[in-house]
Amino acid sequence: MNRHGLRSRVDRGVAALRIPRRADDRLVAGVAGGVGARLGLDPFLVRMFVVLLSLTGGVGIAVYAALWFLSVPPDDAGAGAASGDGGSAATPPPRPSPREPEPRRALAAACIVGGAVLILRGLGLWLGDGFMFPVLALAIGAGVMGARSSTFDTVFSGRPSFARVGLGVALVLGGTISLAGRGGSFDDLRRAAVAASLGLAGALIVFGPWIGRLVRQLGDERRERIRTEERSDMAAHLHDSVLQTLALIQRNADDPRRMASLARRQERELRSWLYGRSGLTDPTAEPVTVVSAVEALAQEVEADHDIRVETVVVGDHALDDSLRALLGALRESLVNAARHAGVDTVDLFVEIEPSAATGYVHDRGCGFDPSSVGVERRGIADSIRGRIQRVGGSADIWSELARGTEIRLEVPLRIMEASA
Amino acid sequence: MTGDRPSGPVPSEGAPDAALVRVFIVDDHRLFRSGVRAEIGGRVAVVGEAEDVAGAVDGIRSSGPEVVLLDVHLPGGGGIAVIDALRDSHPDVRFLALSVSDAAEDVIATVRSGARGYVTKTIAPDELVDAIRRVRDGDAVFSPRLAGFVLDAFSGILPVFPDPELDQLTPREKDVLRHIARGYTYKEVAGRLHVSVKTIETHVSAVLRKLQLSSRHELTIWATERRIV
Repeated sequence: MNRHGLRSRVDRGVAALRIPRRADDRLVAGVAGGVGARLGLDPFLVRMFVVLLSLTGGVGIAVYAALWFLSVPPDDAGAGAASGDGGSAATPPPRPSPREPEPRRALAAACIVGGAVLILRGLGLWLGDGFMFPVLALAIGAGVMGARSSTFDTVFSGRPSFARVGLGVALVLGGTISLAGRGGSFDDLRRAAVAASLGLAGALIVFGPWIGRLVRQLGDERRERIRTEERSDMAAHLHDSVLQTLALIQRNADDPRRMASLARRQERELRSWLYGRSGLTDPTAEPVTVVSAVEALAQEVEADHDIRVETVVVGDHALDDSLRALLGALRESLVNAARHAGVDTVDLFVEIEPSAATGYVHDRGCGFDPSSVGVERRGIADSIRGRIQRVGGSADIWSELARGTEIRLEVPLRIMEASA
Repeated sequence: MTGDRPSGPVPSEGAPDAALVRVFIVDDHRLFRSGVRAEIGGRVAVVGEAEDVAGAVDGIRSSGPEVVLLDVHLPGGGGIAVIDALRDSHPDVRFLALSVSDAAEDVIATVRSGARGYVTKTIAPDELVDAIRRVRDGDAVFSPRLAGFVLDAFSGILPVFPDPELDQLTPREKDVLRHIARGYTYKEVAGRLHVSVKTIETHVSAVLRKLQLSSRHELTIWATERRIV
């Protein structure tokens, strides 16, 4: 209880310092604008105050930095509508949008720090170049190494974290060495470098195995995670497909036709998942080649029309307009056979050769006399023919009463690099 | 559901065999073995069954079947291992590959190592009995799917030097295979091509021989590619 009370008070205190920065009224980061808005002062006065404080020992810069650190990013619009009435920066120069790219802000920060350093140095609040510069290098290096910001990663595109860590290490090493060899001759400097290197080597020997183990552990963990993900993918797939189908089959145990069609669909689906020529692809993805498109087509017709489609495909080819027309016509033919032939199996054979693709739909059904076709059948035949002829192909229909029907469809292919 | 038809004269005309064909079943699924046994038990003599390569080799040696129904995928090396183990000592035993596998290279490899045909497990009992008789008589059993696999395997650009006799299908053989792939029985193919059933059987056996004897690079390349893709 007590601790909670204390914590909430601290939280409130911090919250009070969480001044929203101003995006629309700012010179550096909008802190002064924010403070001005919060205190009801002219931001110009706040800025002057900060500058004065800075000139008297750099306190202002520290205060500014602290406030910046504590403040929150400008939230859009209303945040501080009643702002800089008249006042100083009458026409604030056009500012970058609130969501300013990070590299630019980093550059601004670097300039401020650099300026501050030079001011401090000029004012004499300085412990000597030999001490201050190495310390600065150390601090910056450590900051760079530890920074989780993406700034450097964006700036040094390529090997982001290596560049960042490398820069950090160089700065820290440089800082350490020159700090150690401060005030001495070149010899001292060299000795310091050797000492630092030895120290580093010692640290590596001490912590190396531990670091190595850590890295290995991370790798193992990652591999394990990938494996687990794969396993759960597999489990999810089996659950979605096989287990669902098994449940459905149990529920339809007294309807053999429905059972058979469920089993058939599941078989085809599982098969294409396990042995699909395209490997482990998403079964719901749009097919891009003939083999996968024919599989999908057969599966669809089987599901919709309660018929088994015995599918054989020879060769493969990327889908193009001719092949799409062929597939559409094949689909019509299959549906036709399912509706009229009175059979429970229909054969579908598609062969892709370099210059043409041929498809056959064959059934052993009731057949019909092609010379005396009903209007309905003729319509369908025309729709099949029409589709094929539009892409420069041909369609032949063979049928004999009581012996079955076969439809042969051929479309030309633009010759492509060997696809079979 | 008729399943994958093997081509051949439409189901057994009840031709009374002097003796029932002696059949051995090799499959790692007990349920499937007992199913097949129940379905064809009356029409062939099932002399034994096994669920892995070692059991199959021992069982076939001791029971002496005429035809072995062989699953392509088996624990202990697959159907090929069974054929390899028995090829020299039992040249009279004939193998019919039976599988649910859609992996063309596995099926082709099994046929290349000596199986006389391939049918899928969804085959109807009558047709399976018919295919068994056919294999016993030394003929090849090409289901539509196997015909498709073979056409696929022999397609592609022909090599320049290898044996053209073995490395290439004749236009007529391709024609026959295409008809089988389209779902026609041997008899129907014969009718459509205006030749005798015997001629079709000769063509199919020639294709089987080519498939088994061809050293064609393409077959290897084809199989390798399929495995990678």
